[in-house]
Amino acid sequence: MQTFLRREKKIVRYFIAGIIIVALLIGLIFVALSNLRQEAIQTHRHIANLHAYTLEEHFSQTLQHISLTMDRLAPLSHEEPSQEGLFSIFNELLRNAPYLRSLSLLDEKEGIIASSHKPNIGKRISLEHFLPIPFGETPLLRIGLPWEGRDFDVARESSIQNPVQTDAISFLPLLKKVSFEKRPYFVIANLNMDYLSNRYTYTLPLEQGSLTLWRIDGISLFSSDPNTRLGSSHYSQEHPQDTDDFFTHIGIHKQPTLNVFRVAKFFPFVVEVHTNESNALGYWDKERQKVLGITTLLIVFSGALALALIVRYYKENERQRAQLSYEKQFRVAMEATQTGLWTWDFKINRIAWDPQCFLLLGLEPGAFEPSWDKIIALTHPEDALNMRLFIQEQIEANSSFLIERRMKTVNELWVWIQVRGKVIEWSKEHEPTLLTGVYINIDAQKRAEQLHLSAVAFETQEAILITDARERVVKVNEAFTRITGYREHEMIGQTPRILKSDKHDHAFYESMWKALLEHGYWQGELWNKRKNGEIYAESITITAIRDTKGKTTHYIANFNDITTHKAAQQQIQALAYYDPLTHLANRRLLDETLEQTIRHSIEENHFGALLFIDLDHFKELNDTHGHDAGDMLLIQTASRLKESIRESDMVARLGGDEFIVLLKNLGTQKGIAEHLTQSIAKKILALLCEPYALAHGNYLLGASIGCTIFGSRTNIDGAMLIKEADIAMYQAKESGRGQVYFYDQNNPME
Amino acid sequence: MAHLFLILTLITTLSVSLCADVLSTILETRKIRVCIWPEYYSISYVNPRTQELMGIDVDLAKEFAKELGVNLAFKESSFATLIQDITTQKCDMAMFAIGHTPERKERLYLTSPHLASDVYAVTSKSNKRIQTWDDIDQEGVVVAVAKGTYHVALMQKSLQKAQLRVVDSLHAREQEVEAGRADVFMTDYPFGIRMVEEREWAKLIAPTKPFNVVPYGWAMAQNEPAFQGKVEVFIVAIKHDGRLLEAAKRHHLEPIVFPK
Repeated sequence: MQTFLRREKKIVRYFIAGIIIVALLIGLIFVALSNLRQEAIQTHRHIANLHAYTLEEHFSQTLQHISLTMDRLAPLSHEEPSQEGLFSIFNELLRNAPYLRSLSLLDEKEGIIASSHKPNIGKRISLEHFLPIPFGETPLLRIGLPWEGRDFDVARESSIQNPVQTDAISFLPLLKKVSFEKRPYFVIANLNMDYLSNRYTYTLPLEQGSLTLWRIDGISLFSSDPNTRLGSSHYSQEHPQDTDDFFTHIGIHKQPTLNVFRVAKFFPFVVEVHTNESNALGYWDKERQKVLGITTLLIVFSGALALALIVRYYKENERQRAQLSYEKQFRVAMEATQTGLWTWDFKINRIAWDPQCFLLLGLEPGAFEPSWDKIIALTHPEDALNMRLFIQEQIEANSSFLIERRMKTVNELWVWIQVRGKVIEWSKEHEPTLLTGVYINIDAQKRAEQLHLSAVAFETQEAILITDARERVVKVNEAFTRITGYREHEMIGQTPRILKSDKHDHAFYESMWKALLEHGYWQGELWNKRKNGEIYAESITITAIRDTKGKTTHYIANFNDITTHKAAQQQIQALAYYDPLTHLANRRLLDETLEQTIRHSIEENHFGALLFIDLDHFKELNDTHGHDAGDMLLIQTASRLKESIRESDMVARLGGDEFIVLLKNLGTQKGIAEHLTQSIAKKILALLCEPYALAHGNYLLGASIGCTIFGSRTNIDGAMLIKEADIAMYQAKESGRGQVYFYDQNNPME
Repeated sequence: MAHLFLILTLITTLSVSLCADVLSTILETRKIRVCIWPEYYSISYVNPRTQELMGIDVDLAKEFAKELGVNLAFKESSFATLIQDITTQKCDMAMFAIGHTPERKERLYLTSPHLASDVYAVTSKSNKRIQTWDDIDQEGVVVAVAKGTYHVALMQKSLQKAQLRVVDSLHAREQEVEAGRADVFMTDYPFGIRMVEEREWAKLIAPTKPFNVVPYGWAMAQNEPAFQGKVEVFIVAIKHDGRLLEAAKRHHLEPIVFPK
């Protein structure tokens, strides 16, 4: 807005300057033209002066000639003046003066006594009206008043009130005193004013101006202007006579510029040349108008042109400014987005980076000459591998490429750079010759992506619990809450021990911590307690997070609820470890338990015993009453065996009619252990010998029991014990069945 | 002695005229004498500056002499002395646009006309009273004519209101108008255009309708059939071959070529 206003102001300033210049130009032209007009007026005034001079000269000469003609009359006439004598002389004189209408001789008393025009004779002429009045006796040519008519006989003298009619024939009488034999007479020459008119009108055409002869008293003697009547006076009521001398009068009064007056030197008349201003300057004025018009048009046109140019200039400026700002914006955008421009000319194998490319890597612009090798060197080795291949493949497919790579900054840090490129020139063989593109810093984006991934990963189905080094919970996820029932805010600040069930003993936790500290992680299964008190099983991995110095900062525990999985596992275990018919432990469970029991008894110095029980003549039952009866008997046998032992002891079926009874914790005295074993074996035997209720009725059969004691021997395993018990049982069988025999280590095959 | 000489001369001349016709004389002497009036503008006019003789009849006289194959000699004459100049054999023929008037016809042989001019009036430009032909015959108007011209009789007959002023010479009538003693003077077309061209003040007034058209020819002695025949043939020839019109154009007289 401000820029706009400033620009407006500037345009207005230009506009005003333009108008001033135009006004100045027009003014100058006007002044010049006015000066020229003045000059033209002066020229015309000069011409008028020339006219006035010429005409005054001519009229004066004419008058002079007339005066001389008059003077010739007396010498030519040798006698008393008479009509007869003078007539031919008059005619002779007139021939040489074509401007004279007639010549007459006047006697002061008798009037005209002789004339070239006979009818004039006898006419009385008043001499008073002739000017000037002579000062002395010297003969003088005097000018009368114009007369209307051809000659005195048919004419009247004009007066100011009654001047000569326009178009009427007229003459001007001129008077001069002559002497005939010392008698004074007056010669009157009638001047034909038409003669003057013809002559003067030719010299000064009426369109150009008019000429007037004024007698010295302001009476018009002649005028080429038809409006000025002869005999009329220059003076009027508005313009009264203020001096006797007409020329003085016109000197006092202001006259139009082109009116020129000239006073005759020797005769009483004044010449006035009036130049027709409109005629003299009309053409000039018209020309001036034309020049002004054309000039104004030209100036206006030039002004318009200049204005158009200014507007165009501004528009261009505006466009450039817009372009500049666009470039600036572009640069700012490039900087803001940390985008650098690069070109790669294959023809000269030159890579060019703009400053931003260098800045991306924290380098000074132009820090080095970019090259492919340099780029490779700056690129993370993992990304540099096959990079060129990727680029080539993409270019072949799309004429452009997009790759992301890590590049080393000046601080030896890796930043993610996205490189985009496009082929902008191809060779004739359709090989790319010029590539251009951008480097975009996408490090932050990459990090954000990873964070997002972490966040997503954090919120998985697997429960995650993070503690600090002092085992205080700092974060748990949704899955944790779902499994344990504890919400995050309930957990934060607590230790994971609130989840502890009593399923694991101290030793378990010790071994866990040991592994954790040694290897940095521990993996296993745990029984823990939910918030509602329910015990659940979890498969858990605990990882110790260490800083660069190897100091543990956090622990992360990931675990899954495997309670249901555990139950299934137990079912499977049942199938694997128990005899399906009797639900007694099978050989496998026996073996595992036996191993453990042996180890424990050795460790804790307890004695235990293994009893091998085989039913006597069981085969006969199967043969006579079938397998169902056998199975039923076996089930009852199992039941009787379980009844006869403690909870902590174990009964297993080896298969067929062979059973093992494992007696644990028989005390630390071997003798007592043997005794106890003896008594339990007897009790079992007694139980087994009781009748079995089978489908076909009660059935009786006996059993043989072989026993062996363990607990003092370290080099013994389960299989060996069973073997020993088996041997003892065999001995019992040998000795007539229904017997209890102990294995004798000293005489094993006894 | 002087008387005797005169008589002798007269007899000789008479005998020549009786014995030999003009044409033969011309051919014999190889010389033709042509009377002209040196002030007849466009007809036979001596240019005052160059003293060169020019005009339509001068050109035609040269043409005629050329045709005859004889030398040409111009003799000065005037309308006042025309008859005398011819009858006294001052010249063989007069070639200055001789108007056909009864008086001349009686005394001379007038050839077939080659020009014909009406009467024109010349007035002063400043004379506002005379603008058209009809302004001439008005009360108070003075009309000047030269003594000896056919205009005298013509104007005496035709003027009703205007006053006629007969002056001594052709030049005088011009001065009458210039001095304002007369308003107009009467003349013919060639003289009229001369006035307009030579005098700044002069203005030509043409008759609104044909006033008195006078045919102009050349004059020669009567009873000279051979010469007359020769001249007539020449006139027919120049009218036919355009020499007349050409000459007329040269001297701005084509408006009065006869017949038109």
